[in-house]
Amino acid sequence: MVKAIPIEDKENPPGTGFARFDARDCLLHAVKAAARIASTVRLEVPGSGRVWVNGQKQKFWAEVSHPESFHCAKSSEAEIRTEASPPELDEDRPLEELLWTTAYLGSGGALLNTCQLYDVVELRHWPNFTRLPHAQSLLPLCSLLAHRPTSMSFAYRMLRIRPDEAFRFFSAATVAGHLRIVSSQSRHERADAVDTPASKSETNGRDTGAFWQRLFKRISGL
Amino acid sequence: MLYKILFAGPVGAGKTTAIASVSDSEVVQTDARATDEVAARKDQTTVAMDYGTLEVDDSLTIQLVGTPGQQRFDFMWDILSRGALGVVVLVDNARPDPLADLQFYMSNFHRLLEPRGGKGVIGVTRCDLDRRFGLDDYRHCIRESGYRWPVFEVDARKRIDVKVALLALTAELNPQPHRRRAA
Repeated sequence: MVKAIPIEDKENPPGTGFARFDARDCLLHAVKAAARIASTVRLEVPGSGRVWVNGQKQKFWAEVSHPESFHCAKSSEAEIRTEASPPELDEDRPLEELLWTTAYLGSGGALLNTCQLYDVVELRHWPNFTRLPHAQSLLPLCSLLAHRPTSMSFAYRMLRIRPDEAFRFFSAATVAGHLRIVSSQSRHERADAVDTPASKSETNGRDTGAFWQRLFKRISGL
Repeated sequence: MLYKILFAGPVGAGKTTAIASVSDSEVVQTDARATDEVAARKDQTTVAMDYGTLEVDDSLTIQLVGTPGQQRFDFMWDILSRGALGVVVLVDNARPDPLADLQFYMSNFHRLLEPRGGKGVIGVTRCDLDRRFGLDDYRHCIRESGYRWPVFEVDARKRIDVKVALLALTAELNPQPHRRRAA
């Protein structure tokens, strides 16, 4: 498991610090590097599995027996080599899914050190949650960020999402290209102040959050 | 209280199967023997509606209503859309032009539901059978059409996939987070 380090600096004074991680310490670094290479790159974590990455096609192929230990491996544990052609495996998958999974699981609940909680971000498109690891609390978060650019700092508190789940999401969605930074602001500029009044269409429909919470809870239990 | 969620999309996209995957009650189907071009795809097809239920609690039931896929039954779409909260549009990735299907069903059900605050989610089915189009193609098509609907790969036989689509639809429908202002 990659070690997450609590950061306490000007942006995060003592007592408000949260854990961050550096992509260079984990498999994510190798995956990102492989994604920039046009030919096929094989990444193997002995005992856990291997993936083949083709940056030109933006695809990957996987033979992973232990997903947690594979995606949480340190970059130094990965054996990397280029290969002439992709493997003869049936199913290729979009590379964004490998980037998501490696960042989401590798994060361990820490925040990627390139992510800024006070940046106002917009969801460009929803992650393919039927094929990706996620927490159910991330669906309301995606809905909010898709319709109204918001700072993560404000969004996860407002939706009462656990910080570790929010940080996993923010790290993975950033790496996989699901988020777009609308404006970059420091903690002291209060990014959440850009929140604007809702449009009329957003306030139509059933008014009570309780109704939707009941329904969400019931479907969660399916 | 009774509320309604629609399942729409072309013939064979998996609407009936998706409802059966999550329904608390046995799905009521209105199937007839296919005699037109649909017969090449399957023996029976929905001609009026499919009907399942999701019991939330003693006082709240969600009706899961599958619309007929064939365009000649589109008068049923209007009828079934009345009072619906939202729609899960299933698109069969193995059909000749699934992106055209997407635009057609998305725009029709958006027109029917949007005035009452209804929202939609896209589920792309049979991705394992045809790999010409990926999710990025659908995302691009949705964005070009001016919508922001979530899109997921869905295997209609898998409850977990249909569950994700329904949770996303519920998240989209809940107006509270979208309108709450900074304290």
